[in-house]
Amino acid sequence: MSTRAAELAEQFEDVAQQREASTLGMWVFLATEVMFFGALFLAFSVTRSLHVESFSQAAKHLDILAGTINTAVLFTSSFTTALAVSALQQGQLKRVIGLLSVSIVLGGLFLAIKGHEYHEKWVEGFFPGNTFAVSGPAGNEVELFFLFYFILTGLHGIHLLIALGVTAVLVWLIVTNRVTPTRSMPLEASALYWHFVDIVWVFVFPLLYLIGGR
Amino acid sequence: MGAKTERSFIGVYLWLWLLLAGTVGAAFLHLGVINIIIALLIAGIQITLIAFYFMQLRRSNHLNWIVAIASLLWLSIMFALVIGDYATRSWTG
Repeated sequence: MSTRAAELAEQFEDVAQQREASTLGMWVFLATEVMFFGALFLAFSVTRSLHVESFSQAAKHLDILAGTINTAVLFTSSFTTALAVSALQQGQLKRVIGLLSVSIVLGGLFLAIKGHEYHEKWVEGFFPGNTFAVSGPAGNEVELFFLFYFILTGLHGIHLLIALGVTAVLVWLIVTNRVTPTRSMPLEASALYWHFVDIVWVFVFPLLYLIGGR
Repeated sequence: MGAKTERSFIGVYLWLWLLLAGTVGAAFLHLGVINIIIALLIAGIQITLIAFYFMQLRRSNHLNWIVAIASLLWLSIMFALVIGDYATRSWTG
């Protein structure tokens, strides 16, 4: 009885209802995140449509190889996260911890590659500010592109950092037996967040790196 | 959840790689505005795969579907109004 009581919070009728409430809550939060990133994508689209030529030129300065590798890294991390949820529900705790650790390492790898790109852009003078590498009227528009680049990838990076932290906490909760196969909602919710961070990147990558043509 | 679900994850994962190769490859073709359409179309397929399989929307409560669709609906309202404004600013009477 005591384990059952611990698994079911008192405001819920049964475990199924508790699980539905948890997942629904996460989806509602993600809907607010869609609006948050959506506004940025909209601002980018409108600004780009006003300066198509400069934005296409500016996009060519981005490292397409690093962007592609990072996309593959995030896809892989989402894959291992999805497998981890499945493994937890099947009670394979060691496998869950292994898979989540791989996700955390891949998330860290993504940020490391992103950091390397930031460093290169900084050294080349593409960080918006007084000493921007391109001057003149077209320079202002290129600078605007890089403002969007740093804001979009920066906010995405912060989201990924949060996802990394939450996943690390989840590993701890699973090791200490507070998230269990019958009480798996915390991992399901954090996995939804992880996949959402992946989804944001699925739009950031083509909009910034690809659509100007190479 | 079981072997069947995990096989579907592997399938989705391979598709994501394939689509990534497609979208990067298409960026090297010079097709003008069609480049943008291809990139957004592939991104749309990728997020559908992630949402339906990795995020389990496929087997999830329909309330979650309503939330997911509502977020896209509100997003499209915002896009339609703002782009409608900018697209018609240079109109003359």
